[in-house]
Amino acid sequence: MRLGAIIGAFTVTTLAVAPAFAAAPVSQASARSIQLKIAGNNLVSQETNASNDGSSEAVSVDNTIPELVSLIPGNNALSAGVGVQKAQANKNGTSFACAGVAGAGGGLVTVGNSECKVDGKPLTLGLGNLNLGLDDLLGGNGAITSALGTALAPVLDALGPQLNTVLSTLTGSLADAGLDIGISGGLSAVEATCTANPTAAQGKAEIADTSGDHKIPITLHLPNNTNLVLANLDVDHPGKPGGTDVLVELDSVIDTLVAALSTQITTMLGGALAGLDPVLKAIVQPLQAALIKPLVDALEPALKAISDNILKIVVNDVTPGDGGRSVSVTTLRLEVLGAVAQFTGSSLVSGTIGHVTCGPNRAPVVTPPGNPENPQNPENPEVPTVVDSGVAGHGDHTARNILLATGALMLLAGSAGLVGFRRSLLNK
Amino acid sequence: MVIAGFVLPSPGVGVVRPDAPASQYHQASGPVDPELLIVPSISIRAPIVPIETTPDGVLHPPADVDEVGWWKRSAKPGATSGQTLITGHTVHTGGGVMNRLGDLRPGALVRVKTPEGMFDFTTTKVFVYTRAELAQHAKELFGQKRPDYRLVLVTCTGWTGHDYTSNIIVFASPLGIRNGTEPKTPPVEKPTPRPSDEPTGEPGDVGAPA
Repeated sequence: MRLGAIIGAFTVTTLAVAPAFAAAPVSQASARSIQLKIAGNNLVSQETNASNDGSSEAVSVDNTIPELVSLIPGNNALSAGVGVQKAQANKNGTSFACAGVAGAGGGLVTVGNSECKVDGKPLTLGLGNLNLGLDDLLGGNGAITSALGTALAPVLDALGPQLNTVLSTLTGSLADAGLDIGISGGLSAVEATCTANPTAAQGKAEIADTSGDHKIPITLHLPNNTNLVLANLDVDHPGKPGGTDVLVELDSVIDTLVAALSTQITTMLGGALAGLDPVLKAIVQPLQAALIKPLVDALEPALKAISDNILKIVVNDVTPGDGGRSVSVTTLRLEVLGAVAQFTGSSLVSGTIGHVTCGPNRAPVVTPPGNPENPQNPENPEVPTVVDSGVAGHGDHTARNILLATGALMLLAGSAGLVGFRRSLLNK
Repeated sequence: MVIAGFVLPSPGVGVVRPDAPASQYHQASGPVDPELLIVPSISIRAPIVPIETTPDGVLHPPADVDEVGWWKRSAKPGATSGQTLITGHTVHTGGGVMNRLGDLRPGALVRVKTPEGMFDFTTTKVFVYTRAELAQHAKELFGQKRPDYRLVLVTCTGWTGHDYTSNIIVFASPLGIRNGTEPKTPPVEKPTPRPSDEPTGEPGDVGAPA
């Protein structure tokens, strides 16, 4: 048992110490064209890692150029593009990577063993659609019932025991009332690139200037074909650590959202009221406008939260590390409808497009040519031009000869001793 | 007892398949001193001593025909570039340490004992150059600017009755230090005398060097 404990302790100690001996790679790089989470589900994560120990390269995933249609079904706009990525780690201590998305027909252009870039046409990125029910926004039927109860208070006596019937009819109808929000962005080709050598790393984030003005139009789509251009995002920011937070002017969004939701509620209430008993309908219908107001008032905090967080985009994050020997580049980091996290636990769409890392690298161990301990004497030529390794006749077996001579002497001495001993016996 | 010492075979040389998996080897920490040359398939087991060219460019192996010489300005085993040049004598009446070098074939194991363990090579080419050809190709055969490291073995051949006209040249690629051969640094063994080996003449594979 004691032996087992000793072995166990040794094993633990060995395991704990082992990582310390793992040699740092000579070079390394990674590339991730796209990583998207939709409603918290990791829908797409396409990444390549490469490292080189000085003798050979190990690549975790083959560099691929998949059609996004196979990765993001249903997003027709983005599906037309390709997600491209490449990471390469060389044994000479250099590495490079590039990643991003481009329109259909796009791909990678690799320049020798030193760099690569994304090459392709612009594409449109659909950032997702959100269908928010009142049930979600108000936090449950109780809140809807409470809001309706407040609105129906003036006719409470007239409704009498029929109140519950009216409430359940309206609540059931409104619970399905939704606010369809869609956001789309017209993206140009997005790329992140980096290179590194043993002493330094450089990175670059770029959203291709296909339109000439470096603008990403972001459009909010609401029910009844209401579209609102939230902003033409200026993405022409130089790369810097942490990137640049691109703000969207959202002052007008809350009004648009409230108006759209009011329209939805009116439509739904109209349908619900139509199904009511004619007597009850006659009592409640005049209150229709009054019913909408407490509901919208109850919803406004949620709508405000949505409008404040409808879109968060960070562009051109170029962050150096390891004293400038490594770099991390993220061209586009986005979070759409972050406020939805209150209801679904996560943003509708979040993720990154175009992310690469390079380094830290180190110089490979290269021995100087020849044997530096014995530099060339000026008297000697650079290399031998004659190898005179043939011997005519019997060769010089110096070592063997010495051994043979020693053996012969010992034999001689031994023989002499034997002769002397024999003589001594005979003389006795 | 002394005689018995001559007669008893020397300790066996561990046979390592030249195509052994890479996991059987590890790289040297850096260039390491060559101490002993062992070529199992042609029974070479010879101490290595440093040698230098004469001012007129002639490289002479050690006078003791049981030893081999390592050109001391050439790379050591474990280098990442250049080439290690080792040469030994051929004696036309037999007994030279490299008398059978021409019998070596591609794929044969060549071992160089170092303070870090047994550095193994695999033979890639065996060929013959005339003296004139060797002089003409001296830089590519022995120059140290070669980007990939290799071992070069050289001896004489082409005995005319009074002179040698050519050289046998062997190229070998590094496999690394065989795992488990990290030494307790035993003393360098002197070679066990072998029966006289007749020179084998020209080797079969005569071609241009790689």
